[in-house]
Amino acid sequence: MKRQETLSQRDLELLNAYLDDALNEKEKQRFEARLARSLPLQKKLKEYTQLKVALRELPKQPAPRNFTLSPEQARAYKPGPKLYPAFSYVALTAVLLLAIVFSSEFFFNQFSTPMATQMESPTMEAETFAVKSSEKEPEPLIFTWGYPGGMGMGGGGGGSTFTITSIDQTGKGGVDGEVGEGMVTPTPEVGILSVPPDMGTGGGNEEAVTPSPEATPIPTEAEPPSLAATPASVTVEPLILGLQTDKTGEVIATYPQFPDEAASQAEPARIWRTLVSDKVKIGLAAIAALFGILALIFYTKR
Amino acid sequence: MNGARLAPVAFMTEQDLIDLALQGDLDAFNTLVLQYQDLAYNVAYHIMDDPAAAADATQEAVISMYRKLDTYRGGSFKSWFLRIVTNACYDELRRISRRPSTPLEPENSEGELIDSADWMRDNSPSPEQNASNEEIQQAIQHCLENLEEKFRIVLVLVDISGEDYASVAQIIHRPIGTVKSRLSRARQKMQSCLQGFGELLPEKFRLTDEERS
Repeated sequence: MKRQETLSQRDLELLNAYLDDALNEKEKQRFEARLARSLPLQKKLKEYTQLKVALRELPKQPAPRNFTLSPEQARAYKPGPKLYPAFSYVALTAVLLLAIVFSSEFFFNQFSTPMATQMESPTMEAETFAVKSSEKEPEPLIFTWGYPGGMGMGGGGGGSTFTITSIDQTGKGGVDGEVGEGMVTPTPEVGILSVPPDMGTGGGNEEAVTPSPEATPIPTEAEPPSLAATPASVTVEPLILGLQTDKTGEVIATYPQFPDEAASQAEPARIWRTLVSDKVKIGLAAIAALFGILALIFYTKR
Repeated sequence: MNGARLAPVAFMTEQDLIDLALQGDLDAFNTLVLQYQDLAYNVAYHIMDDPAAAADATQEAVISMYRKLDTYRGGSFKSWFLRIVTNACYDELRRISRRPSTPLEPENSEGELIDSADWMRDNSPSPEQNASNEEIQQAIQHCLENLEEKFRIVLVLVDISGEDYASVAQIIHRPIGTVKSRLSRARQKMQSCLQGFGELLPEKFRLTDEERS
């Protein structure tokens, strides 16, 4: 006994498309071949054809009146100014400005932050160097000046440049962040050798290699360390026990940059942050949101 | 009245009329309305199954067309306008469903329920009625009314208005595949509904015993 063929939704869609002449030639031929051997399809086609004809034969309903507009109606329904393009442009501009603000901020932060980091890294290197030097130095403790006559006293900057190490005397290292001005160096990048152990020495551009056992009390002129050392401070010269001429001018560390330079590079970021405060960002975001919503409302109502 | 006034634009092409209407020529716009108002009302009538609601929807569609004419970007103007009509029908149906204008149970002036009111009449054909053309139309309209909106609109546009699948897809703003599936379901439901009228329908609408098996 032959099993009754069931029609799927896809079959019915094909049947409807065939009925409405919406199949291409290839699909039509394929369907007609199947239709010829499928009784359920033939039955459905008959039903749908009758339905289609019946719907087509429904009497046309003529318009009960004219729906034309009078001049008064036309004036009343005249389309108003198109506000949504204007609103959408304002919203778009605000979004673009916001994007520029954020990308600029990112740009400045990206290039100014490493500068600040670099300011600190030489200090660390110098400290390491200093500790190693004091540990390994087997020689009698002799302080030497890298640049006789170029030395100075006082000055600070322990934190910013070199740090006095292995000092068991009353010498002062100055205050963190201060820069010893007594050191006269040919280039700002060079820091040179040592000072007498008892001397108040600035950490600015000086390096204590090791404390000397023969160190004499520091002359009173050396106390307190002066941030504004003058050439007169050369009076400590007699205290120098020796001069390692072979190490004169030896570069023990270099600064990639002075803090001032780094600071000057970080300046644009600070200025940018001052100019573009959070209020500006919030304002732009609010404008974008407000006009975006208005544009959407006017767009849907147009 | 309108015919005399619109005479200068009566023989213009559709595109000329649209161009003039876009420039603010009300006569050109009204000529377009006259050309399409019967089609619009007929579609609205079969979707709404209520002459007054269909007229309201058609008027809304005309006003909407006047306001949106500058958004017409070429193509079939008929399809574009029918899309506005079907949207107006959707809006009207939503408005009616929110605020039903006919009371469920009519009352007299003293607030008492009226017994044998006209609203109690069953619109479906009675067994005594002959299977005349009018009755077939009533049966079809009854079944059409009971279809879901989305199926009804596709069926009206394809079978009553004679639009092709591509136009219907454009009008209802859906893919052609959706049109096919909705039309298929609409015809299935219509067929099933019409079978419920049984002997009232002429023989050509009835299934034979062999066909039922």
